[in-house]
Amino acid sequence: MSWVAVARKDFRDAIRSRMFWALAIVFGLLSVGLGAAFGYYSDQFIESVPGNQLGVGLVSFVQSPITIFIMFVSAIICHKSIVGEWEQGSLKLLLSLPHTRLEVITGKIVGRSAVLAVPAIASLVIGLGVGGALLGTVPIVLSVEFLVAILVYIVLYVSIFVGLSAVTRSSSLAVAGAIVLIVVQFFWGAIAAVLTIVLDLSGDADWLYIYQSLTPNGAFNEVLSATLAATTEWPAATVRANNVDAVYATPVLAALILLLWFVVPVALGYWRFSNADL
Amino acid sequence: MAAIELNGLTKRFGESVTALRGVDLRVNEGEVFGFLGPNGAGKSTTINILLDFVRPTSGTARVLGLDAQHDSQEVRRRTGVLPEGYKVYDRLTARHHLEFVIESKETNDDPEAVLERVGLADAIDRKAGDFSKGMKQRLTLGMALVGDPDLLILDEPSTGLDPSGVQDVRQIVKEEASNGTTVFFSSHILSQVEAVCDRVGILRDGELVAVDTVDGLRDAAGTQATLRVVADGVTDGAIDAVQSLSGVSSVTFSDGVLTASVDDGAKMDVVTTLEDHGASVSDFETEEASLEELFMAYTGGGQ
Repeated sequence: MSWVAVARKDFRDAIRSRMFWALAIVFGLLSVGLGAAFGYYSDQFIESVPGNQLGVGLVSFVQSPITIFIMFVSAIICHKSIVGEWEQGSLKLLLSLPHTRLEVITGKIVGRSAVLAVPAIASLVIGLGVGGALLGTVPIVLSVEFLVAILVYIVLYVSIFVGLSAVTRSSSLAVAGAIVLIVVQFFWGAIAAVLTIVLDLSGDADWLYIYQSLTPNGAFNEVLSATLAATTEWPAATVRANNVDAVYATPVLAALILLLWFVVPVALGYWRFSNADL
Repeated sequence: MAAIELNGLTKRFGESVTALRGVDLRVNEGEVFGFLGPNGAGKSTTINILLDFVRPTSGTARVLGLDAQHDSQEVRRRTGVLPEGYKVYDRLTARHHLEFVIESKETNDDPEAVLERVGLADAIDRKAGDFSKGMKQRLTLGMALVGDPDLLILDEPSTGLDPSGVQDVRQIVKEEASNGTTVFFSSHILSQVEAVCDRVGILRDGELVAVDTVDGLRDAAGTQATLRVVADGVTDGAIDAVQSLSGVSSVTFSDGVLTASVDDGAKMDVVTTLEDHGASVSDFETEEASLEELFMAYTGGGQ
């Protein structure tokens, strides 16, 4: 259980940085701003919300900007988590203690996840509360499930970027890797459009289901939609699998891909890190 | 049981760099062992293998009877380490650092008491980022002492310390050794090694060129002691007679002091020869060869 010590040390260290407080403030402003904006202008937004449900509108309005923000912030606070300590020499202090390298990676993932989760969840509770108060209705079950999903999302990206940090031999390589992963996801849709034209795939759009589920965000959003639709008033039309007529087009496939995003980067990072000479 | 046992330890980095070439070494339990060598000789590589920071190309390393690779976690649980080229966590206080070590090693040391020992109790709640190099070194030494380790590995412990800090390190090493702790430390500051070590190993270019007691090394290297004799009435004949003694060389005389390089056992011959030639000896002293000179003899001499 020595990863607990590593995680605690990491958390203690992080919350003493100015960046943590800047992050917490931006998180708070963003959440409350989004919640309040939807609360005030719900009559203008509600047209575009499937099923015209205020609660669904509030959560979906907050979801997209917050997840993008979390993706960026986790890249910023995690890309150096291993390679930075390596370059600076504090890793020698850390590993002269009785931690295995797996425990170091685990501790880092838990510690940095907590660093993100504390301000994220606190901000979202306030943001959804403000939005709900203005609407006169708070979608309790939906909000709780959404908060759990945000926790999962944080751990997803923290794992990916800590894994990346353990794979690389320099902070600048880790930064480059993080930028590539983020940018490629932004252009993922555009790349699909180009492929459709170039390869003349317009007649058969089913392959798009797999394609769109390949990225961490694509897989996550599909699993989230499917889960929310199955358990709350969340509209089933947001689940992409429901709009594709193919045997493999099921959220289970997206869930498997999501699982790979949780496991593979960390496994690669651990493999490189555990075989490395410091 | 040996505290440290290296057998044919070899480490190559890439194709071209060989850091260690078949090092065999046995450090006994409870011993204070000095590990000497110029920069790049392989001292840190050896220590890094003991801690499983680096894996040997061939050969084995055992620490406290455990395999340094496969049982590394247990090795590090029972070992206190002052690594070389480390960095402290700037935003955390000295107390935080110790709490981290105490939690990691699952011991119940008192952070204050530990910092007291290394002379840093006043700074317990200050951020380590504001510490001087010497204070960081004291803090890290304190971290190494947590959990009453069976083995202390100190890599260049006096780096950044002022003379009183060096004195404190020496004191702590002696205290730990008297409690039965094995101390293995690397240094190029030889006077420090000389003052505390039971035995010394000299590493040069990845090879262990000598392992012995400080006295034994002196004998082995054949380095002579310097004898100074204060005497009146020393004649040229007396000086010639001294010069012709076996085991005596480099005889000079000025201002009533005769200086000569002498082998062990030849000292009294010099004194009696002077007196036989009518000189009256009022005082004499010998100065042993410093480890510095020995070190040169082993690592650079004859090259």
